[in-house]
Amino acid sequence: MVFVDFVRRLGAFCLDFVISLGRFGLFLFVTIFWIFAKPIKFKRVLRQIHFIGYRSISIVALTGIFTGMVLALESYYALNKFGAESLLGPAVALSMLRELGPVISALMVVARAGSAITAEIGIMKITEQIDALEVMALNPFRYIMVPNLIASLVSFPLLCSIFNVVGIFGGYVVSVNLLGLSPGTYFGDISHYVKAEDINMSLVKSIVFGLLMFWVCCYEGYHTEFGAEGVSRATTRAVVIASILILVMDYVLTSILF
Amino acid sequence: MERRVKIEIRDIYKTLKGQKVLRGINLTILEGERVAIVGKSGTGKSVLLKHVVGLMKPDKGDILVDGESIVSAVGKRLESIREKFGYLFQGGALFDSYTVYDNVAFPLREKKKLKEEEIKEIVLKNLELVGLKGMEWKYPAELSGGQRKRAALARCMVLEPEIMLFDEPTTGLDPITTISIYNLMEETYNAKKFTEIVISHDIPGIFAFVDKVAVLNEGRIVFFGKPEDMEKTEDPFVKEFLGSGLALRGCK
Repeated sequence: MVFVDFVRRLGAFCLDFVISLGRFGLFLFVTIFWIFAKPIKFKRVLRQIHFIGYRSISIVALTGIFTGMVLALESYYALNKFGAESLLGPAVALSMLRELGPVISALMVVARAGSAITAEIGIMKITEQIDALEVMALNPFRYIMVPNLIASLVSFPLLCSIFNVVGIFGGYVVSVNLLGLSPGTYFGDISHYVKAEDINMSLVKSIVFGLLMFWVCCYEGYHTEFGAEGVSRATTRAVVIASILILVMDYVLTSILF
Repeated sequence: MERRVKIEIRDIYKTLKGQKVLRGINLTILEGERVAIVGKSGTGKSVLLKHVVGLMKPDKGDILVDGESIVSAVGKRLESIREKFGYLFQGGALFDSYTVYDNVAFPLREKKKLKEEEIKEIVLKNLELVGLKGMEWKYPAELSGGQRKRAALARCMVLEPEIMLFDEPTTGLDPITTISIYNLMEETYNAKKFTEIVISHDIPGIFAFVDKVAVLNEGRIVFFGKPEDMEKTEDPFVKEFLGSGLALRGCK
């Protein structure tokens, strides 16, 4: 009897999981369908770019400069052991471009904008604002999801680029002013070692992370249930799942683009 | 003159999270008719209303609006059926980030090709009708419960719907505001002559404003007829329900 109960519970769990996965996939498919089905609402896209992109610049720049500064210090410690301090510039630049830029900027934007998007959509859901759109014969995917998707795809690579530039500058400040490296050595070797593929990798990663943030955060908001507690649960889940997926996808993309 | 059937609900069933909410609902509503749906909390009144407008799909059964099935309709057909409806949600469902003016203007901007001056004229006229003149630049959070419902009603009215659905329009409001909302509903009905479904707990207050009453109990319609015929029915639930409503009024 206990075994049968266990199998039943396991079956129900698996079924729930598969249904959720199906709904998750369908959510993205429907959003992409609505990009092409009717004209895009450009004002709403611009509003979301302002929210996700513009209003994240300060937090991304701040984390970028400190990441670059600490990276320069740590790399100097390691490179100094091999007498390769002259490679500090390329070490900072490559680390920022290939790895830290896309990942940390994405995590910061998920925490700042992703959580807000989930909460906003979740509140719209529980206060029947999304139903109101539907009753007016206006599709919520066209009005809410499509602008968020486009805004994420546009904002993420731009924020990542800002993070990279500011981070490399942060590394420069520490290397030149604190560690005594010459500016020429820092920047000269960067142009020698950093290739276009490294910049492309950074941009590809950030676009994929932008898609992930939209997908998880909007999906969780759209499927919010049970009042204020439901919104809080959906927001927490969205940030946790999006952050984990970003780190997992980072490894997958690095393996592919290596 | 015989009125034609506007909404026909045919034997609909709905189970939500293992609970049978609707168990074979049948209801026919004629054009221009005003019907109140009453019943205990949690008996599926709002669920039924959401089925009528196609926000929920039944497990079994069909709902016809002007002879067209809203259950099987998708895409443009569903849109064209929904354009016949105005839906006053329990909490108003106004868009938080928009002002009252923008909320009321929203459906006009999205559904009609009108100039901004024409939109302004319609919005201000409707806000005046619901008694919210001068409040157009306030946000929903700055309004009282009654004002929010009035603004939501104005938003419903701008597209001149053929069918109005009211989900508990007076719940949580004080008696004076309740009367003003009823009067507003009466005025708009007299002006537009739409078909109306009202969900209400206000027994017998709502009876003065409707042609028929449907009593919902355990997912079934146990009474459907004129309010004055309710007292004649032998159904024990209807008797008890009406009795408690009247008793509550007596206490007041």
